[in-house]
Amino acid sequence: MSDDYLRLRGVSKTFGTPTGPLPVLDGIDTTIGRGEFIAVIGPSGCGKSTLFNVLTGLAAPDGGGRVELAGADISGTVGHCAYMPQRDLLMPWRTILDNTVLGLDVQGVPRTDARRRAAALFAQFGLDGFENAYPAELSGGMRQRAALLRTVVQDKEIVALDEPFGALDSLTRTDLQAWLQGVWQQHDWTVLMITHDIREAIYLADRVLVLSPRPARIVRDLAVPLPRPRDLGLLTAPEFVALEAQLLELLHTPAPGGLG
Amino acid sequence: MTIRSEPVIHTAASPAPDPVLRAEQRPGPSRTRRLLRTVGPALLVVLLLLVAWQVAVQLTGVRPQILPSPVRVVQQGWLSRDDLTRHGLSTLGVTLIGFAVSLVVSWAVAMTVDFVPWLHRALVPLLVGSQTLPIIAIAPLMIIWFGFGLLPKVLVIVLATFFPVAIGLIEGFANADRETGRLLASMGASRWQQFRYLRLPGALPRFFTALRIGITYAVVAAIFAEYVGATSGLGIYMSMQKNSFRTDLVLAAVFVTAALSIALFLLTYVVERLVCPWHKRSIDAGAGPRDV
Repeated sequence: MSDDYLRLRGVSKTFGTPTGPLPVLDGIDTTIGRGEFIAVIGPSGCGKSTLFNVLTGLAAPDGGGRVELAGADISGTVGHCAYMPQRDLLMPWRTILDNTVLGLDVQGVPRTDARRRAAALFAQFGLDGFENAYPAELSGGMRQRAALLRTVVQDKEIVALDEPFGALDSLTRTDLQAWLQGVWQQHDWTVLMITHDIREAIYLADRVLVLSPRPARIVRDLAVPLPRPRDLGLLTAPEFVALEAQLLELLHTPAPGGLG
Repeated sequence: MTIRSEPVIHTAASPAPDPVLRAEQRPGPSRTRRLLRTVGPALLVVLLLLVAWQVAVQLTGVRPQILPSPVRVVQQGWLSRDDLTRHGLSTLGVTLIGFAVSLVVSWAVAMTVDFVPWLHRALVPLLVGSQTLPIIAIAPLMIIWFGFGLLPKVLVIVLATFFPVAIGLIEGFANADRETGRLLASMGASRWQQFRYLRLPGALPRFFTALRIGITYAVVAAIFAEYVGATSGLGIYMSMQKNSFRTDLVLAAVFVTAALSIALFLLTYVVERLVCPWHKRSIDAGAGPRDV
């Protein structure tokens, strides 16, 4: 695990609005090691999505800020980061297999190659036998797994998950969190996950980045030194609860200088 | 875009929570009963109207030159079946050629407008304008300008049908899900790839709605163009029969026209099923038509 695989250096972003400039990100600085699982948590509307846009290259940081990957400046360039949005965004006209190869299609990977790569992951993602089903024929949990498969099969350096389980019922969510931890341990994905769920953040992540209200800064970089594999029993363990209490306190007290 | 229609494989994935119940597994009425329930009410209404018409004609003793009974229309139509078939096929041909040209033009315009945003503002008002042209005044001019051949009829059909199809496509393209667009952009998709993977397939349901409206307009426009001047076709046939007071044959030609329109209308559903196999299966699976 090299400690500076992905580095955000002074990433700021201000949008011009009719009522004047709106600072959204205010000097985000952090380094992320290869294979780390990072959760990003913060009050709603704090600029997490903008942070992800910068990460995926859909938006460039304001002057001076940089996103570096293994030492190279990748600010404002797409293609290094596979992004999974909050909604599964499976295309209703594509079968599940065709949906999962979307990113590979865009990259121009030959069809048979792409389909072979995606199909190899179907069993692990619990989608075996649904290759030719349409999204509407799947349950919410399955659709979310298909969306994650579409994300990771692109084989990008970084996997960015934007509240991947936010729209699911809590039972399905817990199932998927446990499952995600399992598949993450088998692969060497470097994951950044936005979440609103403190437990999800602690349960899944190696580190939790806590953002302030807009404009977002990192107010705490909290390591989660819990051993893996983590099982659900851990959710009630004292060290888990202590971390949870810390995060709760951070998120519910106004940060100094923040909007409160 | 791939079009495949092999059936779903019904193996349950072991670690998966139960999938939604498949349509095929749901108990439901048989195909014929469902069909009857769909078209039954319409058939009944038509039948009742025909009976009322027949009774009214017989009770009042109105002259057949004014209003022939439906039975007489069918009898006389049957006797003129060769003429009706010949003219009907001619109209069908003109309709299909005209509508095909209209489709090519509307796809070309809609795609151009989608790729060049300022053209959207430049062309859409023009499209709306084209729809407000009174075809009834334009059609005779077309005959004066272009004669009795195929061209003026094709032009009238294009004028009548271009607008609904083009607008359906333009709006279909423009309503592509923004978030999915962003997802594609994050994958590095070019503008063309975004069109091909997202905007085009997403516009198809709207396109088929527009197609259904367009094809019925196309038949009416073809008849109208022929009515003004033609060498063959149901339009000119009706015009000639009217001039010789053969109201029964005019109405027989009207029946043929209606049958033609309905057949073409239903054909669009068949084509839609072939082109968008997901659409029906998505609805069967219990999901409403969703935005894409």
